[in-house]
Amino acid sequence: MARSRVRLIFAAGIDRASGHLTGEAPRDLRNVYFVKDKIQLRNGLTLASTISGASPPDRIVLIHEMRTEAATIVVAYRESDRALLLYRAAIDGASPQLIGSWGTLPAGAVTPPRLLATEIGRKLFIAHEEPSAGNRLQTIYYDPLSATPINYLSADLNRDGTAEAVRFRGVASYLQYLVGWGFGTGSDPDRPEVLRVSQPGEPTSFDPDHYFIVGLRTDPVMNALPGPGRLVVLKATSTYDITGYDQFTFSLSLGDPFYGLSGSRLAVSLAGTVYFWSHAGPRTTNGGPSVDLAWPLELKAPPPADLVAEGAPARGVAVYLPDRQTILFIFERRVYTLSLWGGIPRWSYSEFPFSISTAATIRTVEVGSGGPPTAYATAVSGTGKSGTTDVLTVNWTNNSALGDEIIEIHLQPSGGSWFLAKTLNPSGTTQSTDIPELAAGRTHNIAIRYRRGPYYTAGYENPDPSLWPTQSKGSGTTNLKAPTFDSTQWQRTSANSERVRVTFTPAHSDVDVVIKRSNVTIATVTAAQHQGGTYTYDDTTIAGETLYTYSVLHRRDIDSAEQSKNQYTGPNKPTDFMVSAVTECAYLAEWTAGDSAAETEVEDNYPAGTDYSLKVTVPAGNTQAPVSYGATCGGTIRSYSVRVRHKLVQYNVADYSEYAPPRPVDLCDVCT
Amino acid sequence: MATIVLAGGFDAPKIYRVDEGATDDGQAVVARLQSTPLAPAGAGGEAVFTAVYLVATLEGQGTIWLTPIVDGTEYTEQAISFDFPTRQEAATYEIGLSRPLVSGGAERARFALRGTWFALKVKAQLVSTSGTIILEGVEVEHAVVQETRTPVP
Repeated sequence: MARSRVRLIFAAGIDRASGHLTGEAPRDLRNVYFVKDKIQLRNGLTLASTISGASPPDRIVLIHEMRTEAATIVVAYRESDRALLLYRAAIDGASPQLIGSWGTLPAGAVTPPRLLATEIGRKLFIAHEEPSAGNRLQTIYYDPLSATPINYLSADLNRDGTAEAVRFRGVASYLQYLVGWGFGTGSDPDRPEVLRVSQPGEPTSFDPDHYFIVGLRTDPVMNALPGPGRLVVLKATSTYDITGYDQFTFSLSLGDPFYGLSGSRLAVSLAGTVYFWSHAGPRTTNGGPSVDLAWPLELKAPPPADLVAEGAPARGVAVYLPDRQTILFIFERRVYTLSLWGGIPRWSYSEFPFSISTAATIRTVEVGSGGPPTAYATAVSGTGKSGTTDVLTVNWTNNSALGDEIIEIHLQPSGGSWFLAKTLNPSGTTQSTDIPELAAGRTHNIAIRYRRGPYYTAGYENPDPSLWPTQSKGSGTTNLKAPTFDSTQWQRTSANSERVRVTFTPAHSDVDVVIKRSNVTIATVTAAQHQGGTYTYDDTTIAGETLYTYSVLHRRDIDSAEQSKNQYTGPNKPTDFMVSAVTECAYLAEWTAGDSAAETEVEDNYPAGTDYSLKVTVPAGNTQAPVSYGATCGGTIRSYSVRVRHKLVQYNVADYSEYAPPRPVDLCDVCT
Repeated sequence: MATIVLAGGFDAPKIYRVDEGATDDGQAVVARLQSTPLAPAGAGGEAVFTAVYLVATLEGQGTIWLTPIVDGTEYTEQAISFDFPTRQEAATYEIGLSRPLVSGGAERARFALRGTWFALKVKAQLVSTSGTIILEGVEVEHAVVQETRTPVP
């Protein structure tokens, strides 16, 4: 009896609805890949990193490469406060570091949230793929070169002169355009059929008229992927093609009226061919009507409605595994694997021991010289920029910089936390840059490090700048303006009390004002007290008839310049005081009243050899006084001195002004 | 330029590298396959299945289990363990197919498998933290059973 051998055939097909052996035709093909005509045990899932911290998130909801940064951007979701948090990780998923918070998921939004992202113009745009516009978060873009890396997309789409928050359901990049869909305007947000196109090369700028109405409103746009010379717009139950390259040549045409995308993330585009999971199972298109990919499954059963019926596509995600030339359609734990080796699609099926929420193909690229930089900064210092109060000029010296690094300047205001203030490229040996929008009069610690792609100079890897080498640290303080010193005024308020009223106007509404009297601080008016408005302070701890110098200044981490005024604690003295001889024995004193309500006393040192003595007191309202010592001179003409002061009586208390500067007068020393 | 796939955990804030390593974060990956049923003698014929030849490229430590199925009946599973810790090895295994004749609780004899439809169930698993199991080809050795004809005198 002759014996012979027959090759056994695997991979004839599986039930695409369940992935399991059912009936007589499907075959069990779990956890394998097809590589050419061989079958290989699939490799595993290796833990790259775990996001930890004081309040770690609960799950990952988005992973997306940022090719221009050679980095991976991760969005995680925290259940307890519904927070969406952005992280930046290395290209291989290691060392995720918190960038910041996107926002809080609205109460009615689907959880966990689904996100779609695209990179264009060195920015990563992320949209909240939420069906209801009312529950959708504002679209953001991550800009690593901005001092505020998380930015919120806004545009004046309803032409009211005010930019409104843009809440796209999804975003994609096509040519030099950012396309976003699912959002009409601020006043008409829920437009699932609208697909907007940005200005070319300006992904954050939108003309209100640059949009497509893609089919019926009841059939929402789910995703858009580049096809061969076109953008394939995948709706829930149909597909459209956008061809052209600018606003004059763009046109929209129906591609497939029967099949669309069942889950927004269940599509990938490979060399212009789009593979997607429709309500009837996997299909492919490169424009025009789509083609069923079910035939490699050798199905004998009805179309796979099970996955759609249980809602699995909404949580599903498709991703391309280049080394295997395989597309993975991941439905949490279940994975439908489409091998494209040799151009012959073949299906297999995998099961993960835990659920996967998102996946992404990461293409690592070399950035600049590649690898970690060796550059570091020295001679770091900061000074307040002249003429400003919110700008700090940071100066430093570049060491070992090649020019392709990105310099990160971190600041820590006194009493505050470190934050990334600015990023820029190195230029020259010594370099400086202005950092605006800082608090006035605030001292900032400065720390500088260099980054190339995901790598930092050795010793600077820790996200906490306080742990970096001290050679790359310094400090600087922004300037303070001086307050405006409006006035001082002495007043008697009772028989035994008097005050000096000090009035000033702050230059900074949020900085305290210090009041000094003769160089001694007598009060600090807090920002909460003056609130930026003109403020009056009464100094009641004064001695009478004393000349003081009052000063006002702003004080934070430094003092501003002082503004000063002299104030005498009594009535103002007479001014313009003049004395003229009328005869050899008489003179006339004239002045301008310093206090119109006060009397005026005239004193002189006549006769010779005596001190000043009061000669006449003039009632209020008079501004001159004649003084006579006789009609005839019987002696020698000599020079004498005359002085005046005011006398103000209030509450039966007399207060005296300072004397006006004395004036000479020539009189006869013997008058009769 | 290298390309990888990263995946995010649904139940934990974990980032995984897909298609790397031998386990799913410590849990074994088990491949399960079943061949398309084969009828060497035709749908109405009968054959004797004597052996299965497995050609595989292997690296690391692991086990491959083979279970013959004849006309829907699964027979005894046979295991192949391998240990190639340093490099990939191309290996060929011959597994004889038989079923026991048990009488009085004791195996008295063994007979080759005989029937119409033959299929093979394969299970494979690595126990090392890295390695490879590639099934290059699986063949079944058989002989078609022909009716004995009495010569006409």
